[in-house]
Amino acid sequence: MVALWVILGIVVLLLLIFGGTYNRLVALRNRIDNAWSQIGVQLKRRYDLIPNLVNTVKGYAAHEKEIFEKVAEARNAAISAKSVPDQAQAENQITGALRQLFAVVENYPDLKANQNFLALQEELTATEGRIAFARQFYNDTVLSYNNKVQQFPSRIVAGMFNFTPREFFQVEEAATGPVNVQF
Amino acid sequence: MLLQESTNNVRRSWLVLAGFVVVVLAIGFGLGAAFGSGVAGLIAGAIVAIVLALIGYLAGDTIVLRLSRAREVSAEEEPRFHNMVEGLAMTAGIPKPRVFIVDDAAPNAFATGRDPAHAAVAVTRGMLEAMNRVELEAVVAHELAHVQSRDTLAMALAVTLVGLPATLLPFIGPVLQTVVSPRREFYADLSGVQMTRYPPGLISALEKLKSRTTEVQAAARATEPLWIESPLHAGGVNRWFDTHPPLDERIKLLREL
Repeated sequence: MVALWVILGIVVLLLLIFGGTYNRLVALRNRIDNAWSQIGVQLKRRYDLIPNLVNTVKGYAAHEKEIFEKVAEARNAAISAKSVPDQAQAENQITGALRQLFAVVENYPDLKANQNFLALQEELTATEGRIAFARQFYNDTVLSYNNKVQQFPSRIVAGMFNFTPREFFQVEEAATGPVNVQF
Repeated sequence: MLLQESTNNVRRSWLVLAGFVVVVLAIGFGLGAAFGSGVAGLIAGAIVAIVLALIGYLAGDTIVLRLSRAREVSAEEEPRFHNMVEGLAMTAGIPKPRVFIVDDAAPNAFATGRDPAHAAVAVTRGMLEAMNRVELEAVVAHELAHVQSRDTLAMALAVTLVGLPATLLPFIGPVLQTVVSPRREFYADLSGVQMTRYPPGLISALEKLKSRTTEVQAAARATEPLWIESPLHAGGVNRWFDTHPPLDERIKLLREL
């Protein structure tokens, strides 16, 4: 009779542990999705800042048509990108085009002193920072989740309910090369 | 490590609260018994304890901000600083806290808030001027680490329930030191560096704090544990309120990373 109660107790305890682990896995997975959409929010912020920036620069350097077209093209490519690799490539394009734009600005001291331009430049720099932080947070959430999915004993529950490890946000080859600074 | 520290802090908060309630009840009973009815004293003590605990929990951060004469600043006033706080809050996984400035030339900073959704971070004008971007990021990351690990909850309670009475009765000061462990600062240093992924930033900031006075005029003794480095004039009764580990030890720990 006592044995029955003991078994019942053990079963209840196991169910609680299972339930707790399952909930933790769900919470960690949802955090990853949240972190991913946060990156998207910051990227959109960047897209929205660009037209303003281009217009301010155009006010002082209207004839630098080539660079404006490059920036617009890169931005459109990023907005209309369908797959993750396409978007990553378009993002790189934007970064490259913006770098060239800021290099061009160096030749226009009036523009460099313009308050509007400075404010936009600060916002853009800050947004680049936020994108980096968002990606860092995304990777941290993936790490926590992967650990939980792969470690024992939570991997038992993970296997039962089809929780699979997720991928980290990778840096492209070109981005890890040395940065060329020219004065 | 962070999750563990967070649970430890929540537990410590409950202990501080429990300790406080016991002390107030004991005083209430004692006074009540001396004047006739111990039970009445106990009930009065219970009411006082509940009211003070609620104030400490709900208004603890407002009290600290008011005591330190911190002024909330908008994104228009300090765009760079706001952007920095926002970015770091993102990597910490917490909502962006309110941003305050203390008008003092000494570099120092603190964070407060009963949970990340009701948090505030404050730096002195001196800190903004003394630190470069990387160092300032390290300091803000350190403060956000306090918020993230629920340290600010434990501190808000400790300040209101222990620190304020200690201002009236300074011999209670050492109680603050037992309740507030110097380990907190090490954890905040490490968690902050985990956010910025750049230990030299914080090392450099702490080195700068070593060479300057961190004494903040407006800082109340009760708020001592909250600041990144002690804001009190060194010596005398203030010794009982110092809860920070020596800067050299903190720098040494960071160099080992």
